[in-house]
Amino acid sequence: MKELSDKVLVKQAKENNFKAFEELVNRYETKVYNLAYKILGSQEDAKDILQDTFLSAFKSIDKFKEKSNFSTWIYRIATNACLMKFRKKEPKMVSLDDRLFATGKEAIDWSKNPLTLLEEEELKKVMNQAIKSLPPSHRAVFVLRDIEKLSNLQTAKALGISVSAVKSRLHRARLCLREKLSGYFKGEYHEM
Amino acid sequence: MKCEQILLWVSDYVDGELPHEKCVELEKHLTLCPRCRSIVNTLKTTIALYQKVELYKLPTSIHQSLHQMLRHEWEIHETKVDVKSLKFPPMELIEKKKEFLLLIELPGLKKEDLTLTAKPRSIEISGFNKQIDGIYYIKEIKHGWFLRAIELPASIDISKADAQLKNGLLQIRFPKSMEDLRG
Repeated sequence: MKELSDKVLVKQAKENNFKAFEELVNRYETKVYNLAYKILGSQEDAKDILQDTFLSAFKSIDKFKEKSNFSTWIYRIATNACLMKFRKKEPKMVSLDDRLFATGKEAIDWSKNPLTLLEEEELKKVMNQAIKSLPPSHRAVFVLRDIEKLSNLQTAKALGISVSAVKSRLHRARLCLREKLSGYFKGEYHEM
Repeated sequence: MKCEQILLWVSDYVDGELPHEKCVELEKHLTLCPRCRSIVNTLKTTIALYQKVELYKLPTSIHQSLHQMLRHEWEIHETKVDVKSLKFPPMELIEKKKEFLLLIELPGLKKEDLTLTAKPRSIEISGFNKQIDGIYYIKEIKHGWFLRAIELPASIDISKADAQLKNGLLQIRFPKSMEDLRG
């Protein structure tokens, strides 16, 4: 059978066809789970967000005006849920240190180190800690834009912010992560 | 060109979104400044490293509990929807000399899917019309839980009511009560 587009499934789901809604869930559950896992850093939280996201989508699908794709809409629900969870858990927001963006005395170019380095558990740990050290709003932008590979516009829609805000947060998030990884490659790694 | 300026442009540059003239300026700077060159290169590698991280597999237990929870919500939702739209299933109530005849279209339903409650002046019928699993290209038949309650214009003798479900049509005969017949 020809695979139906998201748009057709959304139409059917609005007409109360549960099977069509379930198909949309099948298409996006792993993506939403990964998004939440990467933003929140815990499986338990990712599971909660997954359930909250699709429950909320189910309850409000007839109000979905389809000005954006279903994927953008579902990402928006999921990221909002993640950010809400943060507010409950970590009411104190950390802000990025602007000194990170000073050029400093950077000299080592570790970019030639092969990506097979990812095999190293320690690097994964450093990458995880680095992403967790970002403020949630920046982390969400980085995950959507660079990991999930959404466009600037899709990310902006998903987060309900402007494209220029996406670009500015992405820029800061990337530089911050680069700085942390540089520390690791320069042998300055310590528990962050 | 100052190195600080490079840092402001670097993200747009790696995304290929920096205007051409700024690109030329930046690339010229990179040939002269090893420090900025290393920043640009390592920034690209940082992004590539994060993109290479494998997907978390969705555990089957989480997948199942999500779908169970949604199905449960849908069943609750179905109940609410069909109670509100009281024109389903379609029915006819006909008064004859000695009885009332109630006809209800129930294609695909079996006796065990139905519950019938009769009172001297009212009848209530409820049931569940199960939906076949699959993706629908045409969907005009109503499914789900339904409930119809009707008031009768005269009293009936419940003990002599007779119901038959044949070829998707439910026929219920309610003899009028003796008082009504006399009246």
